[in-house]
Amino acid sequence: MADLPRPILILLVVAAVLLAAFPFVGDRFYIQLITQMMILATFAMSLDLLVGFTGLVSFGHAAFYGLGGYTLAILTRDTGLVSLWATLPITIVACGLAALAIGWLSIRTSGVYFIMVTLAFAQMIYYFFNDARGFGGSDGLYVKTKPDLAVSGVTLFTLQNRTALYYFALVAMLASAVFLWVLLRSPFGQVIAAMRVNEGRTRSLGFSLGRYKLVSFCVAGMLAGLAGYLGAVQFGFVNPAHLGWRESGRVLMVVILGGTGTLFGPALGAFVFVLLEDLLSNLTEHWLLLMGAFVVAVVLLLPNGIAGLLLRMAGKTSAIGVRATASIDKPRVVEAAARHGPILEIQNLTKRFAGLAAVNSVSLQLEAGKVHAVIGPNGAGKSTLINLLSGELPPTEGLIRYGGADITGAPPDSISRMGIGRSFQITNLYPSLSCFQNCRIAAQSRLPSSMRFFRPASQLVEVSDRAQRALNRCGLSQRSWDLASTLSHGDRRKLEIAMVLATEPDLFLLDEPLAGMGAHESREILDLLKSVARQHTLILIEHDMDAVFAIADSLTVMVNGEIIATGPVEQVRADRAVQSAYLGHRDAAE
Amino acid sequence: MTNTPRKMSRRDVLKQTTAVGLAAATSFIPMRPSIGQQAKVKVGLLLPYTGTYAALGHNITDAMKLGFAEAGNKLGGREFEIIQVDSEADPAKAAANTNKLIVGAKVDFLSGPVHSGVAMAMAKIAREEGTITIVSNAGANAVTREMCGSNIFRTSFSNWQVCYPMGIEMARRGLKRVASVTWNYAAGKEMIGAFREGFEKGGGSVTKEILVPFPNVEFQANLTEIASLQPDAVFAFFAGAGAVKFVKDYAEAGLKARIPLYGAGFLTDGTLRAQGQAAEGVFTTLHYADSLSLPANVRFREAFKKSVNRDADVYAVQGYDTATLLIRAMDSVKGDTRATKALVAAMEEVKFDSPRGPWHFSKSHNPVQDIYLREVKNGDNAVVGVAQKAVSDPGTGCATA
Amino acid sequence: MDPGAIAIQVLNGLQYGLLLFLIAAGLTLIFGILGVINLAHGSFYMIGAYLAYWLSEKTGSLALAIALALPASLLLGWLVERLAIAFLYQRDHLYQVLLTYGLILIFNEMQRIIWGNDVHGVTLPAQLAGVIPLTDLQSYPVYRLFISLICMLIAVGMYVTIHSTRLGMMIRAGSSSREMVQLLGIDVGRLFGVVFSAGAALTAFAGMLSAPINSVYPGMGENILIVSFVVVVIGGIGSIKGAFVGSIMIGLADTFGKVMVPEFSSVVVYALMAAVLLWRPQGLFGEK
Repeated sequence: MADLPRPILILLVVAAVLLAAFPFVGDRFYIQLITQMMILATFAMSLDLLVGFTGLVSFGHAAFYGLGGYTLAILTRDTGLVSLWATLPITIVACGLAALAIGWLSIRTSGVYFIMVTLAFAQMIYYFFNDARGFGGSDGLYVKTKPDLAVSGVTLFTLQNRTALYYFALVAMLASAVFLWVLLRSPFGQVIAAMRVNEGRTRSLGFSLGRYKLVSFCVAGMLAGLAGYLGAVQFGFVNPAHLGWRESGRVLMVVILGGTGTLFGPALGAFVFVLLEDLLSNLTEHWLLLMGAFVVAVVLLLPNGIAGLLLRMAGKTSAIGVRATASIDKPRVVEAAARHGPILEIQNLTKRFAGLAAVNSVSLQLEAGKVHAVIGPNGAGKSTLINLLSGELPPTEGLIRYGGADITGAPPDSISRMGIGRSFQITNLYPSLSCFQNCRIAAQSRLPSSMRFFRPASQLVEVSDRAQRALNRCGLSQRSWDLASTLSHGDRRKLEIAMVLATEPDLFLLDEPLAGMGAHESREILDLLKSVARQHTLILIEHDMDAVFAIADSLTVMVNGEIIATGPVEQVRADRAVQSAYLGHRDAAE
Repeated sequence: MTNTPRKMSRRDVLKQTTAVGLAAATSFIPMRPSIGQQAKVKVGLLLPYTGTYAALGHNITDAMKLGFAEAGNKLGGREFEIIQVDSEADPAKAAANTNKLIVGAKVDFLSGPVHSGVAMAMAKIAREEGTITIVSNAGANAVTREMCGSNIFRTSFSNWQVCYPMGIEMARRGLKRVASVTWNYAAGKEMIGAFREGFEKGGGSVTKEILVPFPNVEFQANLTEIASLQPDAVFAFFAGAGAVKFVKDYAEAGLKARIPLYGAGFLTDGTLRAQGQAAEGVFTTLHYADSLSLPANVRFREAFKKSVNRDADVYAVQGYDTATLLIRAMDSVKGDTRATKALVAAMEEVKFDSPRGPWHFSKSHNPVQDIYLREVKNGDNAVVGVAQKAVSDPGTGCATA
Repeated sequence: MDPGAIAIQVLNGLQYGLLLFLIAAGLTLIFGILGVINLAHGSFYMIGAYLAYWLSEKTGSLALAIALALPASLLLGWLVERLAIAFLYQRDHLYQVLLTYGLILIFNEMQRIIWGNDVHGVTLPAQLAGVIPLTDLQSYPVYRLFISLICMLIAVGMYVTIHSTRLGMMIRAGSSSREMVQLLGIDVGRLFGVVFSAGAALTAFAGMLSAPINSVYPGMGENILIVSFVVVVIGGIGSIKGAFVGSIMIGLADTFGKVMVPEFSSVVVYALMAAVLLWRPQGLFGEK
């Protein structure tokens, strides 16, 4: 949020000050109404973490809100605990555990299936409280006593008092906002931001996404539980309806209307939403019609919600990069080691797609420190081979050994962590991030762990330096702060390579790196690859034969999924079979 | 204009916006300046005006207005206004809506709701705030038991009150094994619980209590289950759409001929037209019946039909009695809404000559009323007799009972 | 439970499942081919029921009412697609959810404005109003058997259409890859319009068929909406076969759940969905 435009920052600060001052002049009813708004704002921000920042659309978030309320109601009914010190942490932990369980099961699915699974679990919890005995059923439960805060026997305040609750809710809302902001600037936050923009690339960089999603899900669940706790305190009453899909839908609306991925948007959205519901319902009996029309209008006219509107008014288009600052940590750098024997060994590797063998019993041994080119007509299976090596596809049969270790069937993230980096034939970047941010996330993937929450990512100087070096090497230093989506095709291919460089692998898998580049750019990249090849091993798929012959040490020719020739470049080039299948006849004879 | 019932006016809407406007507000406009001399009495209604129960909400409201109109549209000599808030029969919003009326609009009297879940929230807040509250439909037992209060009255019924007499009656008829069926929610459980109490007291036994997930109306599986249980009779509680469907399905499954159907009055109230032939011969108990020949009832039904061109039902009667209660109470204190104690005392003493028959309040502020036994004959709930006279809810757990 | 009761419960479950299939089939096609999450799908069910009620009151015949209501539903589906859904094709799921949610609110309110808040019943035509005695205690309504028959015929008809006609081929292709269909020069706008109206009309037809046995009341669309989504997700998005299998599964699970675990019968449906998704995250017949 350091990159929020000034007018908006000023707006938020003024709003916070006004909120703090309001109880001194405001009417009892409005104190309560605004407390409601602030609780909803906390709830909405927690969902924004999931939807706007992690890219997980949950349709069951109200389950945690309701669980927070029910935990308090059950605690006050059955245990007589009254202190804030006891009830609040217990509630938050309970919601965290529930989120852990549900999240762990749900993360396996994605997209619309994820939406439905979260809905299913929320409904199960809803029906549990609705149908089981002992929880008040569909009429709900009372919160017998409202919590108070006591320090060494002296009661500082009790939440029974309307004004005390107002301030507590205000503090909770601001604290949640700050907490989320810190979280999102940390290395953890960078990963989930990258995940939302391009999940496949992030996985291929070596991050095990499941863990990040789960942490995000738990944090969101706990904050929602906090909001639910406050909601139950406010009215002294919990009901299964608070857990239902309509409430989940309602808070999702608030987040979308406010503007996903902005934090302040959903908070503002909460205020607007409650106000709107209140006003419209006083205007006419058929106020739901107006509400529906409003929702439709926002979707069609304000695609980025209220926050988007405000940002546009303040003259902003989208996020910009953050510059590196003073160094604190040194990440472990993977050293290229001299190896004896082949660095990569493939035995009888086969990949079948429902009867069609795209790669058919391929066996190969590649030496370290050399450039190996793989060529062949379209459809020969070259890209499939690369996908098998990088873990994007599991082989049907066969064995892959890297540096002696068996990596057959390993997932892309573990292969990446072993020191194998790949670039993609079809550019696979983070379009809404800057070039620098693209490389930085790649460099960050080499950290032993990105599960660090409290220091800003910009403080990881080694990571930032490595990203910048990669950019410079590829000739993109002038474009560091430009969004990847604004680059020309050639520059995008360069960025693609820069990202691989930033991960500093031992083995490079490059899938048509020169595709679509003009002659001048191709030469630049070739020079770069030559310099890289001095200390690393490269496997290169290319169609540009001049480039191949300029740089490759050995050549493998694939046709119809099989290798028809492999060995040193000149030897393969002169092979008759290869010439007739692929290279064409160079000599007049034959 | 006198006493036009209205929702929150545009002026209030504007006030709210300015007061709450985050970025602009520099001054906060205080709520509702008092109008010089005597301000109007405010009667707040929390009822469903949209959703499945909307018809009930409208009937209660319209009958109240009729009652007020008949008394000259004045309460204790003062003008009044009705402030309506749509409860949507949604317990999740109940607390906020109640606050809108009590704290926001500062009503002098609060009435409603239809749904018991809403009533629970409303009762809690009303107890804390002390506003005089008249429950005009929700039958949750707790309202006049554990949650009772000196300022809380009920002009409708308690779930227990409606069904206990049927249990006694069915036992008296010699039925031995009965299966009961209802929705799995608090009101349903209270209804069949009360039935069971009465039935077992009379020597019968409940074979099975079938609970249908609320608010499902797909009963085929349950009907098959009933058939296989082969009870002497079935006691059912459903309301609204569920009641229509259940009775129809019950008849279509061929069960009605072999296993007679009994129920709480809501099973056949307001639903007969939709149920048609399927409802013929069903016995129910309720504190009212459309066909009651009491003069008060005949008069009321005519007046209601004339004023809104709809037929009155039990809900309208409850609304009408609520209006009567307010009128009598305010008359006795000459319109002084601040004399809460005197108001409450006056309300406790009111004797109603209601369309349902004469009744008065019990110590826990629940009606003490006759429960009628009705049978559906020719598309009408015909009163066969009085199942039990002057039934009073026990009020267990109520301090004033 | 004795075998007789079990058999009847199976019949109950099948009948419910077959009706669900009509709704789920439309939803899965819209989802699979148009790529749109349509929360307002349940509203068509409600509109069908209300049209059947209203027209049968006016004309005195349910059959005539349905004959009139069907083309009306097709037209309405077409209009909704052109005027609202068309804006969503390029947008992500979030906006589709929001916009169609707004549509639900609008449809519900319009229904209240036009037809009011009361609960209505629809009378059955005399020929179908009878019952067939199955056991000595219980009879089964003829109309329910009739509904099951109609739904089966429609299922067969859909199968034939999808597998043997040109339209069906386009639908299958579109289900696999929307871009491909566009590149092949097929008028995607028309295809989408046809698919959406067909889906809406199927759902409305389900509402019309079930109006006599369910009551017609405000908000009846929402309850069926959630269940039909569950069916689609279990079966796999875009798969009619999946919708069929899913509906039957849910129909049976729900029916037996009510009788065997009445306290938690509502959980059964959702637990089933969660279990299927954890085993096969893309649904039973969905594409990865």
